[in-house]
Formats: sequence, structure tokens, C-alpha cells
Amino acid sequence: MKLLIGKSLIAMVGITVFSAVTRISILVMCRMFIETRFVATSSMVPTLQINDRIVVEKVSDLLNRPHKRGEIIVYYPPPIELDASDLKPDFLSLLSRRSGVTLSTWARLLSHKLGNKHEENSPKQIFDDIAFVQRVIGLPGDKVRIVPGKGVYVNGTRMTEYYLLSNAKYRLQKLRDIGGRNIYGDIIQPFGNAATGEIVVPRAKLFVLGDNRSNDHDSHVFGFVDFDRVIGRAYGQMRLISVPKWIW
Amino acid sequence: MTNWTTEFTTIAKTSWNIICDHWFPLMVALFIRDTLAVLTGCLTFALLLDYSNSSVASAVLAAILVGFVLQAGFLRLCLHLSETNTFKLSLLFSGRDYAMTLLFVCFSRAVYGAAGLLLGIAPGIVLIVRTCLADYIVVERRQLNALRVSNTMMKRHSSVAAVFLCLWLVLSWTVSFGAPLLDLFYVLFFCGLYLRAKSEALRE
Repeated sequence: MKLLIGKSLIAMVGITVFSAVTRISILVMCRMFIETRFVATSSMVPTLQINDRIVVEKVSDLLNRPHKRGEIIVYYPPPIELDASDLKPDFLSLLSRRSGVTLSTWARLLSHKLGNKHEENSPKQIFDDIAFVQRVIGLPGDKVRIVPGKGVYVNGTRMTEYYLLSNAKYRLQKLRDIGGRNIYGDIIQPFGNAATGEIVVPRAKLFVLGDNRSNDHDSHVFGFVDFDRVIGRAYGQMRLISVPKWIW
Repeated sequence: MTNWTTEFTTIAKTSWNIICDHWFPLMVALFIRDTLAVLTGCLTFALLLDYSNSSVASAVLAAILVGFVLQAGFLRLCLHLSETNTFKLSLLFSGRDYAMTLLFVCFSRAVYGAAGLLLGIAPGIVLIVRTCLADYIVVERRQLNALRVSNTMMKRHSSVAAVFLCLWLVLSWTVSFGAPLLDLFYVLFFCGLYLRAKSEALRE
């Protein structure tokens, strides 16, 4: 009898732990290919509204497929936008970023809650995996220019942007024009005041803009985005079917 | 104790003993089944991304098909385990010939069950109980009329299956962390019930 109880207990605990571990690993594996993300800000209005859920495919970046102008990408903003704090290089953070399962944020939140208020666990740095959703405007080698009220010029040609409600109200001609306030409200100017060169997208970088052109944190504020920081490309939008109340 | 309670406790005890003795290889088999199905879906999605606008739908379909092949294999594995008390992992990959029949029978079961539940709770439960051995009949005999055979086989065992299903449903809803254990127990319980019903039918 004692043996049976012992065996049963081992089986129950074993099955529960085993299935928890395997289900998490399957989820992580699945999210290496595709994941869904909430749109947290109004940067892509009117194309995407706050709380919209988009499907992000990560296959293209795994296979190094070239980016296309006009596609929507999800990416980690450069350190200058995050008050100079960069993405953490530890294993848990790396796994979280690859899989889109925010394991490291959970761990840091838990640690913060338990009272380990170490310097690196300041509230600003807990959410180091903030991701932005924006549209690719400039590819490597492109010359980008923005004329207020008129639109975006790439390599001298004005882009046809049917998805915009209104054109940008700011002027962007030279590298020194890039700047503004980051998400914490600090004034930034990534290329300084002396940079008088034209805005040419460097190799392995992208120039991205939100569809809510004049009210957004994008490349006109923090400069170019590295290919390495791209999480994936928007594949589609998930729309939940609203079920009539009488059914419930 | 009445007849059905003896039968219920005997099958439950046997299934539980199998779980206690073979839980680890069984979980490994389940892990392989799920991983391969998900991986197939992901790879299909990756391959069709540039060529098709419906790559998500194709990926889901591929995952379902592979899932059914492996599910048929898993049911065969469980039947073999219940019959001989020996674990044979190679059976997990032996479900290729049964997958399409299993898919058809599962779909028909779902339609029957839903139709029964639309008529009322009692007819729905009766239909679900009467057809619950169909999967095992398919993976052993590959019969398209598995639903009818299951109905015949379940005539004497309906109360055992009904009580088990009710208990299983209540436990699944209340003890959510025990879901994988209950799922395994469900498969092995019905394996036991199927073997018992089969031996009775053979004796007659």
C-alpha cells in the first residue's frame, strides 16, 4: 500500500512537472517562428489602433530575407531612446527576446517585488524589452528627406502613402535635424548639432516612421534602427469576433 | 458492489497502475507527438511564407494532419501497453495508415455529439458515451463504421463510461493543473474499457 502511494505521488508530481516544462518549451519553440503582440501606443494610427493585436512572423529575419519599403516591423528601439540602457545580454533575456515569452521581465518584476531593489533593477530597466511597431521607410543606401506638409522623399522621389491621415509637420533634411524627446522625456540629438550631412541610411540599418507621423517616437527622433534589433515583420492583424451577449 | 462499480474500479485501478509504472515514457511519447506536430506547422508556415497568402491556414492544416498520424500511433501504443504491459515507442510512428480514418471518425463523433447536445443534454451524453470507443476501434481494425461498432460494444458498459466521463469533466474543470494527468488517465481508461468489451464480444 505504502509503495503504491509513493509510486502514485511520484507519477503525479512527475507528470505535472514534465508537462509544464514540455509545454513551455513547445510554446517557446513555436514563438521562434511566429508570435502575436499588442500594439501599446498610437504610433501606427490609423493603420493600427491601441490594443490591436498583430501577428509577427520571425522567419524572414531568421533567413535574412531583405526588408521591403513600406512593410511594418516590430523592433527594439535603440539605447538612446531607452535612456541609454540597452538590452540585457544574459541567457534569460536572450531567450525571452528570441521567443517573445517575457521570462526575463517576469523574473525581474518578481525580484523587484521581493525587495531586491538593486540599481540595475530600477523601474526604468525592468521593461527593457519594450518593442516598437513602425513602418520601414528607408533601406540601406536610401537618401531620406521629409518636407513638412508635403511628405517623405526617398532618393528624391515622393512616397505615395495612402495609409496616412496627415503628412509630417516637421522638417528633416540633415542628420542634425534628427532629434527630440525620448520616451522618458529627455531631449536627445543622436548625431549632434554639427552633423550637416544628408540623411543616408547606413549599411545593416533601417529608417522607420510611424503612421501617426507628427506624434511619434521613430527614426526622426532616435535615428536609424539596426537589423539586429528587428524582432519580426507584421504578417497580419488578429481580430476577435465579438460574440453577442445573449449567447452567454 | 454492483457489476458496473466492480468493473469501474478494476479498469481504473489497472489504468492507474499503468500510469504509475510507465508515466515517464508515456510523457516522452506525448512530448514527441506535440513537438512534431507543432514543428510541422511552423516549418510549413516558414516554407509557404513567400508563396501563399494562406500560409497560417496551411500550417494549421499540416499540424493537424501530422497530429492525427501521431495520435493514431499514440492510441496504438496505449492499447499495446494496456494489453501487454510493455512500452513500445516505435508504435507511435505506426499510425500513418489509420490517420485519415481517425480524422473522419473524430469529425463524425464531434458532429454527432454536437447534434445530440443541441437536442438536449441527455441525448448528447448518450451519443458521446456510445461513440467513445470509436477511436480505439479505428486504430486497431481501421473500420469506417467504427461509430456503429462502438455503439454495439458500449451497450453493456454505458454506465461505466458515463460515470467516468462525468468524473473526468468535473475534475478537469476544477483541478486545472492536473489536466495532463487526467488526459493520460482518460486514454488508458478507455483502452482498458475497449479491451474488456472486445474480449466479451469475442467470448460471445
